[in-house]
Amino acid sequence: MQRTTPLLKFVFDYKRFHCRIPIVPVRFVRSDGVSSPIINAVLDSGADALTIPKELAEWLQIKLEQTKTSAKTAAGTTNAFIGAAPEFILGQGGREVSYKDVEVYTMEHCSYTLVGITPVFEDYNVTIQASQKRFRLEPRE
Amino acid sequence: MPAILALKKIIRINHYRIKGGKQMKKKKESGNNTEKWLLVNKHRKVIFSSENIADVIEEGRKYKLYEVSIEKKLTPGTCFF
Repeated sequence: MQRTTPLLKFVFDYKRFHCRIPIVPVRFVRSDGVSSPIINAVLDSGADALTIPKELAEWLQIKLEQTKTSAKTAAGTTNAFIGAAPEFILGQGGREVSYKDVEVYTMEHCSYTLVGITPVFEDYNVTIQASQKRFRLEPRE
Repeated sequence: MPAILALKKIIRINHYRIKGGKQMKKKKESGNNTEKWLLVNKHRKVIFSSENIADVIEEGRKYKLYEVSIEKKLTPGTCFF
């Protein structure tokens, strides 16, 4: 994985989603340069890495391989598959941070897009202000 | 006279049938989108939905990049990742 743009400070407000969990705007770019629209993903400190639905991995034309060990999720143990997304972009509207060749996982029975520890929590100090439905991403020094 | 009473009875029965029929009209479907991927515009109006995110991405590509976004409904009390 390689970050191709400098880290930016972000404050994301997720009031409009009417949910309790933090939502972060991201998008994925295929190897032919075609970008997905913005996907409002779940910021999930309980996930090792980026987790995407199988159909999104197929759209991104990612080669998936089954992981050597099964994945442990809140719902139990399940089969997981690993691959590399050509480009993952955090943020929107021109304020974006781009990563190339990002490790992504898909899991059976997981149809959500989860933004996990790698790369976001590793690159940022994350402060969730749940009462205000807002979170801050401050680049680690 | 009995004929008039019988006619009145028929009218009354039909009236209740019609009234009952109205009450038994099906309620509109509430549109349960919790498992579907939604394509929403800037005003958060749902413009497309599908259980397959790839279909929603392709529909979303018809719009300018930041005009639409993709999400799932995450109702409070239902999310345990």
